[in-house]
Formats: sequence, structure tokens, C-alpha cells
Amino acid sequence: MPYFPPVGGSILPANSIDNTVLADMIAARIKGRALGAGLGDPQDLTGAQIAAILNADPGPGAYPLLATLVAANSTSLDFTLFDNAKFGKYVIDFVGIKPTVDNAQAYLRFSSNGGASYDATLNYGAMNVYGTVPNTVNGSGGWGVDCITLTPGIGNTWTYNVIKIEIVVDTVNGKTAALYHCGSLASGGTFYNTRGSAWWVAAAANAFRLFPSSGLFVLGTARVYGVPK
Amino acid sequence: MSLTRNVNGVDVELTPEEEVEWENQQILDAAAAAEMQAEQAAKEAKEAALREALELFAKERGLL
Repeated sequence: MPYFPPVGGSILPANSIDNTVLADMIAARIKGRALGAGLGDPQDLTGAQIAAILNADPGPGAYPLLATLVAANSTSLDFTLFDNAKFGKYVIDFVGIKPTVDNAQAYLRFSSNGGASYDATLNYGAMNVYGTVPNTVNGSGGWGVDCITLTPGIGNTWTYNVIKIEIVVDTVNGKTAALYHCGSLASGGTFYNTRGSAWWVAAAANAFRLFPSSGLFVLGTARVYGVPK
Repeated sequence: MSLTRNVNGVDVELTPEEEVEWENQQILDAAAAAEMQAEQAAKEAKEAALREALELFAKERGLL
């Protein structure tokens, strides 16, 4: 007797297909549909494809990784993928930093033209509190400097120096705040543990540049995350 | 060896103009650092001389 499936419906009753009926999947995959794939059958997505979906449409609590900047004898690490309509804050984890020049400082500058140029005028302010061995606490800082000094010195013997930066862009008032914490060991035994804040009072930033005060960054990885509004 | 910077995860070569600008900045930075070191050394030498003079003065008057 011929079988005629229902028009516009399934030939199978609802809730009748369990996972054992589906084709086997490669490990570490999730069924879904890749970003930009258009309408079509479900796919077995890789981690990268899942990350692309979350980056495009992050839910509350998800901080998508926007870029991984890897230093390899680099003059600077630049990030120009700001999306200030989507993200209220950017978090940068900069780890394993090693400069070519012993005790070079780590600097930060902003751009308001997407990285075409970075402001090198006296529009920055910064405050640092740092400890030196064995138990001395020092302070420094002020307004009207041409960049933000994230750390007073990074020894080039070690690679466990770390800087964490949080950047908040106020697009309404055209201002940018950077909060940072740094742990760096300078040659000679001085440990810098800086904390500071800085404002850039020109315009809303849409790109930043990390660079050493002298020489190059031999090593170092900066991961940039976006915090959705 | 050409200089590079990492932009959004991609290594990008500096233009010849940018390379010249970067090299000039290195020279300026090195000069500024040398000047700062010289100032610090001069300050320390002055402090040492003052300390020595004070010690001599105190010894002459039997204070030490």
C-alpha cells in the first residue's frame, strides 16, 4: 500500500527521534548552524565556529575574545576592532612580556581614528603606586603626559610579567578611562606592582597601542575581550 | 630585518617612513635616558661630597 507523507509536516511523530538514531558525531562538537552559513541542515560545530557565534551575539555574562595579539620582536601591539555600540568595556590580559631593552617601560596610547594615528600629545594622566624590594612604597604620576606608563620597568630576563588593563569608553561625553594593574620584575630585583588610572580627554577611543619605552617586545601575548553593554 | 607590529593578531611590516620615525624615536629615547642617568650620577656625587664635608666638619669640632 503506498505511503503518502502529510503535506507540510513530518512523516515521523513528534518527540520520536532520540540521540541514538542520529549519526555519530566527532568528539567536542555541538550541533548548530555556523555563523553566515544561511538556512540549512544542522551542522556539527567546532569550538572556533561556536566562538564566532558568541562573538557576534554575546549573551549576558559572555566576554568574547576579540583578538589575540602576539609579540614577536614587535614595535607595538595594536588593537583597532573596537565596537563601542556593542561593548561597554574592553579587558586586556597582557602576559609573558619580555622587552629587548632591559627595564623598558610598557606604554599605552589611544586613537580616535581607528588606528590611523595614536595621540602622542599631553592628553594623558596617570597615577602609579608601586613597591620596591624589600618594603618601600612609592608613588608617582600626574596629568599632562604623552602616554600612560603601565609599569616603570620590565626586566628582560623573565617572561612572567603581567599587565591587566580595563578600558571604558564613554561615547556620550567622548572620554576614555583605563584602569590597570601590573606585576613586573625589573632587573636588579625591584618588583613593580602598579595600580593606576588614566583619562584621555580628547574623544572616545576606538583603538589602542601597547609599546615599550625603548626597543621591541620580544615576547608577550595580549588577549582582548569585550564586555557587552 | 624589517620591523613589524602586530595589528589585531596579524604581523604588519612598518612602512619605510614609519621605520625611520621609529629609529629616530629610539635615538631620542636613548639620549633622554643617558641625560637622566648623568643627572642622577651628578646628584649622587654632589650628595656624597656634601656628606664628606659634613663628616670632616664634625670631626674637626670633635663631634664625631
